[in-house]
Amino acid sequence: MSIVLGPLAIELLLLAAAPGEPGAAAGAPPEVRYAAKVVTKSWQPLELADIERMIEAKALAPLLAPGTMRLARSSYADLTGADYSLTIDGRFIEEAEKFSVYLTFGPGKRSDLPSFHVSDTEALGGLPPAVMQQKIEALSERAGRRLAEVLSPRLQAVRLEVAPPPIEEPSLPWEWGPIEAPRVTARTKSLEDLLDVSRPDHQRQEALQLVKGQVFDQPAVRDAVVLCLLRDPLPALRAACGEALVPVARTHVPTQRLILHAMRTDVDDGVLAALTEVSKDFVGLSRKECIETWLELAASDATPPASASRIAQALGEEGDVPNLDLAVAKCLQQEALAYGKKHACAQWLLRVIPEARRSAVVWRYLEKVAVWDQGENNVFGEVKEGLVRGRKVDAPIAELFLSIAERRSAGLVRDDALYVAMEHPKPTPALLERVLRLAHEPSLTSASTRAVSELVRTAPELRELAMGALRTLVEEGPRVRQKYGGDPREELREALERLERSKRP
Amino acid sequence: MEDCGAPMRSVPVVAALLAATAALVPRPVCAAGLPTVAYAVEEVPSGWQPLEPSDLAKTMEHAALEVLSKPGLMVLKRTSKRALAGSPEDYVLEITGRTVAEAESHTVYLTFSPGSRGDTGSFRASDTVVLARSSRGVMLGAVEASARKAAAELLRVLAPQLELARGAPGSPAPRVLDDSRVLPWRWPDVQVPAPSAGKAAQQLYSKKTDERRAALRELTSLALVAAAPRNVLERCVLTHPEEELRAGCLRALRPLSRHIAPTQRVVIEAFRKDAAREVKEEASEQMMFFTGSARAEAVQAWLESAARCEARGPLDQLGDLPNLDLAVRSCLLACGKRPKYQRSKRSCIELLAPVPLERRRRILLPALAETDTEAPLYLEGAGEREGSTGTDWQWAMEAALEGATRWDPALEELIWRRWQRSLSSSALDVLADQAEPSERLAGRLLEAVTTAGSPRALRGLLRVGKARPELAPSLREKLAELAVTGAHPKSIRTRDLEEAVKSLEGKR
Repeated sequence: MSIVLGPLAIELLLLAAAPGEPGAAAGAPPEVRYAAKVVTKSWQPLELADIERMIEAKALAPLLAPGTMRLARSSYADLTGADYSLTIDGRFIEEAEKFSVYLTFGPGKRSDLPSFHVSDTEALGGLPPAVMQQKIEALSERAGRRLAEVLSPRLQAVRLEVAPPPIEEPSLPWEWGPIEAPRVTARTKSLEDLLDVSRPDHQRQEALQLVKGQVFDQPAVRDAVVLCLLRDPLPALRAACGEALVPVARTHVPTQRLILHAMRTDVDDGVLAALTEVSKDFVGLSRKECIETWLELAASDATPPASASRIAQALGEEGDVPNLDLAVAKCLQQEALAYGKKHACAQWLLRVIPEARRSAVVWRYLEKVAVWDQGENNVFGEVKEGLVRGRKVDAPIAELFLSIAERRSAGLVRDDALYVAMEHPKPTPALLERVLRLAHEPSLTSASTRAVSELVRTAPELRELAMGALRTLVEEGPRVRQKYGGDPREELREALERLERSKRP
Repeated sequence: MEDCGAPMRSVPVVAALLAATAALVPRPVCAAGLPTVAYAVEEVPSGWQPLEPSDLAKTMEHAALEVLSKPGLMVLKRTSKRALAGSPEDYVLEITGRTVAEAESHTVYLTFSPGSRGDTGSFRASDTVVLARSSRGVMLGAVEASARKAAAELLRVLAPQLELARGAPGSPAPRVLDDSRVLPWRWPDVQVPAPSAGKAAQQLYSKKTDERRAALRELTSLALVAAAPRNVLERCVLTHPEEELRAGCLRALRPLSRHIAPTQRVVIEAFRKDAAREVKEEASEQMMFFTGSARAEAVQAWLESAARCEARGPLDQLGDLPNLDLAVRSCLLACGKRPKYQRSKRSCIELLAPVPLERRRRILLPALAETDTEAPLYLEGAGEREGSTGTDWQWAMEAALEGATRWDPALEELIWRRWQRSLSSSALDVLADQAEPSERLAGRLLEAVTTAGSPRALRGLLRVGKARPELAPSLREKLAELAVTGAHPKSIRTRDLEEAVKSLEGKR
C-alpha cells in the first residue's frame, strides 16, 4: 500500500528541488505558484484531503526534477503573484466511477509562455481503496511527466533569455480515459423504437419526439438518447438526440463526457454543429474538458472543414486558453486536403495568441509552406498578417521569408514572401545577393527589384553593389516579356534608374 | 557538393527545341559526371509489426540500393530523414516502408525528387507483398524482393532522366517522356477478410429492398461505435451489385476511413475501380482526410485518374508531385482519344503549373508540334477567335513560355507554323508581344500584315522597330508602300498603316 505524503514531505520535496532563492538574479529559474484541489459531486470513495496531498506530491515531483522552475504553494487569491501559475485539480466522476487529474500551467506576472493543460483519467470502479490510491498516484505522476515534457524546454528558454523553440510535430498532451456507453435495460415501446436502428428513419424520429420531454427526469430515457447520439445511423437524428440532451448536459458530468466523446468520434458536420452548441454551456472542470475537445477537433486532420471553422470561432471567443499554441501549430501542419481546414485556425485562433509567441507556433508551417491554390493562399495570408502586420520585422523572420521566396516549392507566395524579407533590419551584401539572384526568374523580377531598392534604403552602403549587379542583370538577366507581369528587362532598367536617382542629393 | 567541380553544361532536348531552356539552369556536374542523391530510410511503425522496423529498414535499404546503384547513374549518400529536406545533393530519395494489419502485407515506397537541381521530375514507385503466416526469413526475403522490384520499376523511369541530368557531351538528344510509359506505381490487391455471417451482413444482400436498407442502417450504426462490421461494409463497397448500397456502405465507413489503414485502401480501391459517380465522389471526399502513407497512396490514385483524363481530385493544390510528369503526359494522350468534342486537355495542362519550365516543355513541345488533327496529342485551337475563347493550344503555348528568360528560336518556328496553318490569333499575339525582335520576326510580321491584314502583327512591327532601330527604315518603307498602293486586306485600315509609318519615322 502506498503512503500518502503529508504537507511536511511536500515542503521537503520543494526545498530539495529549488535551485535558487526566490527572486534570484537573471538566469534563475522562474517562480511558479500552485494550488491544488479535488472535487466530487456524490461519489467519494477516498478522503478528498488525502487525495489532494497525494496528487500534489506525485504531480510535482516530475515537474521539479529538471530544475527549470521554482515552485511555491499558494492560495487561489495569490496564484498569479509570481512569474507563472499552476493549478492541480482532481475530480471523481460518479456513475462512471473514474478519477481525472488536470494540471494547468498559465501566466502569472509574465505572459510570455503559452498556457498548457494536461489531463488523464483512470477507472476506479470496484477497486479496493489501496489499489485506488496506487492508480491515482500513477495517474498524477504520469500527468506531471507529460506537463514537464512540454514545459521544460520553454522554461529553460525563459531562464536563458532566448526565443522559445519552434513547436515541432505537436501532439496534444492529454489522454481521454475509456468511455463506456450506457446500457438501457428497461425499454418502453418508444425507447425500443428509438434504439432499434433497423426501423425506418421516420419511426425513430417520432420515437425521439415522444421521449425527449422525459430526458431530464428519467435516467433510462437519458441513456437511450445518449445511445441514439452515439449510434444512430442517421446524422440528423444523432444531432437531434444531442440537442435533446441539453437540459441534462448542463449539470450531469457523465452525460457531458459522453457528449464530448461523441464530438471526438463523429465526423458529420450537422452532428458536430449541434454538439458544439450544447457543449458551450459546460462549466467547471467539464469546461476544461470541453476546451480540450475543441482544441483537438480544431487541430485534427479528421474534422470536417465547416465544423473545424465553427469550433475555431468558439475557441477564439475563449481567448488564450491552455494548449492553444500546440493546437494551432498542429492544425497548420496537418496533412488533410479538404478545403478550408487550416484557414479556420489561422483566421480565428492565431490572432488570439500574443504576438511574442506567434513565431514559434507558425515557424514549421512557414518552413514547409507550399501554396498552389486560393485556399492555402488565404491561410498563408492570415499567417503572414498575424506574424508581421504592424510590427517591425526582425532578422530571423526576414530570413525565413527570404528562404520561402527562394524555394520553388513555395509556389504562388514567393513574391509575397519577398515583400516581407525586404524589411530586413540589417541587410548584408550576402542577403542582397540572394535577393538579386531571384531577379533571374521573370515572375520574381519585379518583387526582387523593389526589394533591392528597399534594402538599399535601409543600408545605403549597399547602393554601389546593388547598382553593379543590376547593370549586369540588365545585360544578362531575363529578356522574355511575360504575358502577365511585364518586361523583366524594363523592370531591371527602372530599378537601376531609381537607385541612380536616389544617389543624387 | 564537395566533389562537384566539372564545368556546367547545357542539355540538348528534342532536336534543339529545348536547348535554349536547358542553358538557363546552371548545372553542377560531379567530377565523375554523376549526379549525387541523398537518401533516407524509414519503416513507419504500425499496429501489426511481425518484424523489427529496424530489420525491415535495413533490408529495404540494402535491396533498393543494390538495384539503383548497379547501372552507375548516381552517387548515393545516406542521410537522416530530417536532413533530407534541406539536402545540398542534386536529388533526394526516400525509402519508406509500412506494414498493414489485416491484409498482413508490407509496402515499400521509393520516392525520388529534385534536391538542389530542379531539372528532373519527381517519381515514386511502390510494391506490396503479403507476409502472412511466414517465418522471419521468408518475410525478410519477400520484403527484399519487393524492394528490388520497386527499385527496378523506379530505375526504369529514372534512367533516361539521369542520363539527361548527366549530360555527357555528344550524347544523343534526350527523349521526351515516352508514350508507352505507365505510372510506376503498383497497387496491392485489396482483400477483405471474410466477415462473420451476422444477420445484417446476410440481409445486406437480401432480395427485399427494405431488408437491405435496414441492414445497412444497422451496420452504419455499429460502425459508429466499433470496428466490428467494418469488413462487412468494406466487402459491400467493393462487391455489392447495387450502386446505392455500395455508396451507402462507403458513407458508413467515413469515421473508420479517417484512421484505419485497411479501410483507407478499400476507399482508394473504390475510387479507382468503381464506375459509379456517386461512389467515386464519396471516396474522393474521404481521401481528402487521409494522412501519412495513405495520403501518398490517395495522391497516386488521383494521379492515375488524371492520367486517364478523369477526376483529378485536389491535385492542383499539391504542387510538384512524384509521377506528375508521367501522369500529365498520359492525360494528354487519354483526353485526345475521347470523342471529338470531349477532348479538352485543359485539366492536364493546368497540372503543369508547378513544374519547372524545362520539364514543362519536355512534356508540351511534342503536343505543340503535332499537326495531325486526328492524332491524340494534337492540341485544338480556334484560329482567329483564339484569345477570346481560350483553347488547349493557347494554354499549352502559354505554359511553354511562362517563366522563360531567353527566347527560343525553335519555339518561334513552331508558333509561326501554327499561325500559318490555322491563323491562330494567340500565336500571332505571342510573336507580336513576346518574341525576340529580329529581322526574321520582322519579315514574318510583315507577311501577316500584308496577307492577313493583322493589326496584331502591325503592333508587333512597331515593337520590333523600337527595339531594333536599324530595322525601322526598311519596315517603314514596306508599310508606306502598302498604304500608298492600298494592296492590303481591308481588315487593316490605311490610316493605321500611315500612323505606323509616322511612328517608325521617329525611330530612325
